[in-house]
Amino acid sequence: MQSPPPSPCINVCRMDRKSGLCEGCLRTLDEITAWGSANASQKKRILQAVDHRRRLQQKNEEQAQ
Amino acid sequence: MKLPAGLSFFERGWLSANNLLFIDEDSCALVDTGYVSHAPQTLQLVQHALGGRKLDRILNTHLHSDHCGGNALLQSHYACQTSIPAAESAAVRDWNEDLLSYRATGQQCPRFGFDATLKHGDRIRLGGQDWQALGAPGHDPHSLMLYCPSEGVLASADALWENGFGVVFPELEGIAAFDEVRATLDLIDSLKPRMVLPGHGAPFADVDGALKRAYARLDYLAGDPVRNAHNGVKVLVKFRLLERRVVSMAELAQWMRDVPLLALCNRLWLHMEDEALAQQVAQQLVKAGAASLEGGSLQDR
Repeated sequence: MQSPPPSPCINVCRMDRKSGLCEGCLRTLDEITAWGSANASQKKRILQAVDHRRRLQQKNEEQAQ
Repeated sequence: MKLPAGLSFFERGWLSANNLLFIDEDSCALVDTGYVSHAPQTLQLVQHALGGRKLDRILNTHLHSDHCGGNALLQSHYACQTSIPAAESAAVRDWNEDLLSYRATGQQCPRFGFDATLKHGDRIRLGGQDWQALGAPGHDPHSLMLYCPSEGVLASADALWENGFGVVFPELEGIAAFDEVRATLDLIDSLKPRMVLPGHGAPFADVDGALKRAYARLDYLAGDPVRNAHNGVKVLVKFRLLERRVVSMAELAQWMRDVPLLALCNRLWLHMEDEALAQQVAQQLVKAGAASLEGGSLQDR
C-alpha cells in the first residue's frame, strides 16, 4: 500500500475570489473538502494539479515583471 | 481508511484544528470551527460540503482558539445551535477572560454564545450514528472526545495525535495534569478504536503505535516538567508566528514579557532573561525547520 502524501496546507487558509483557489495551498474548495477522505493516489493527483498551478502562477508573475 | 457514512473530515493545518461535518436526514453538525483568521474559509468549506443545506449545530471539543475561532462567524451566518463542554458554560456566558485562554496565550477568539452543554457520558446523534462524549482532561481540563462505538471511530481532539498530543497546558501554570494525560490515553487504549480522527493531522488507523509514542512522550515530559515548559513556550511562539508570519527578535523578547502565559511559564520553570529565551526558542524553531532567521527577524516556514 502507498503511504498517503501529507497535506499541502501552509496555514494561510484564505480563498482567492478570482481564482477560486486557496492563496496558500492552491487547492479548490472541492479539493480541500475531499482531502480528508481521499486515498493516496487521489491525494497525489491533487498535489500534481497544485504543482501545475504553482508553475503557471510563477510563469504569469515572471511575465508581469 | 474509510470514514463513516455521513461524516466529512476537513483536515486543516496547525493554526486551525480539523473540522468534522456530520450530515444526516435530520440535521447537519460541525465539530470544531478553526482559528478566527481562517473563519471565512471554514464557512466556505461548510457551505461547499452542505450544498445548500443549513448548518444546524456546532459542537466544540474544547475552547482553545484553534477549535472555536469560527463559532462567531458560523453562528451569525446560520443562526445555528452551539454545544460546548459543560464545565466552560460560566466562562463563556460571562466571557470571562481570566478563565478563557485567549488573553493568557495572546491568541484571538471572537465572543460567541452557546445553547447547550456536553459532558462525559452524554450520547449524541451525529450523521445518523450514536456518538458518546468522553472526558479527556490533560491537554485541557475540560476537553471532550467523541466516540462512535458502532464504527469504532474516535474523534480525539488534542488528546492523541499520530505523533504525540497537545501541550499539557495546566502544567505550564503549575497545575498537575500529567496523570490526567495518562488516564486519557488509558481510556483511548480501552476503547480500541479502529480509527482516530485527531484535532490536527490526518486520520490514522495504527492506534497502538500512536499510543506507544504518546506514552513515551508523556514519560519524557513528566520526567522533568521543565521539558514541558520549553515545549509549551515553543508551541505558543510557533502558533503566534503562524498568525503573524514574521516577528523581529526584539518583539519576540517583548512577547516573553507581554504574553501572560509565556511570562508565567518562564517565571515558574525556566528562569531565563527574556532576550535569552527568545533566542533559544528561535534557534529551536529554526532547527526544527519551523522557522527561519533572516535579518534579525524570525520568519514562519
